[in-house]
Amino acid sequence: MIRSDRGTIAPLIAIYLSIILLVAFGSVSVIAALVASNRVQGVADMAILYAHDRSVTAGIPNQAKLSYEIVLFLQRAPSAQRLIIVSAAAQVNADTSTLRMCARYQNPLGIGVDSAIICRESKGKSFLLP
Amino acid sequence: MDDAGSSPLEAVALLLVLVLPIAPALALYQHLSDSLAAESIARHALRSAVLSQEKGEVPRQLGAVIEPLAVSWGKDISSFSVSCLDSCQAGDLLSLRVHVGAAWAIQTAGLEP
Repeated sequence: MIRSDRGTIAPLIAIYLSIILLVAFGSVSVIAALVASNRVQGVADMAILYAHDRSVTAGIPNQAKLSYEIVLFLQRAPSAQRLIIVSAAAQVNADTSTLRMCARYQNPLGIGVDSAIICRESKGKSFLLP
Repeated sequence: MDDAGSSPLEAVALLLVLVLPIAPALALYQHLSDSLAAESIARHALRSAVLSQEKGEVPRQLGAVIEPLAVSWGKDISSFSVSCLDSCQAGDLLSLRVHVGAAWAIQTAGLEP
């Protein structure tokens, strides 16, 4: 037997709203991270191609020149201006150059919040045209 | 005990509260989707254009490269612009800025030295 059905639906609405907001923020964060990681990967790809092109002699890249050119690219390229570069480590292994870059993407959502630190790796390799 | 009230009114109010947050969320998804597309289109178009052109020459057929990329993303390109850091000579940095809706992306590549 029901004695009383007094109460409020406010907690129910609050819980529904919380779930909706949680799902929305979660999915937005995932997509924003995708955008940011794409940007970091893009800059890393272009940086290693740029530096490899300019540091290679007879198919073998020079480590010091590679590092110098990467820094130069990251300082000058407009695409790198929206990134806060945390680290950029260049490595040479035979005819292959590798760049491991960690960066934050500034304000990917347009609301003044930077992304987390994202690390990406790119490789460049010399080859002979037939 | 009094339980007077209107359940249709309550249902409408509840639905409004639950549905309203969806609109800004959808707008945000749209913006992020445009950003993702702009990043990808700029990156691939720039690389393709730089590779397809003669040494040191600024790519001129960029529109022809960008269009199929935009179609594959199901997006309309609002505008795009190409710029060089210096004189667009061999070894210079070439940038492509692509606008998709309210989102934009810029990618930079080095012209062959």
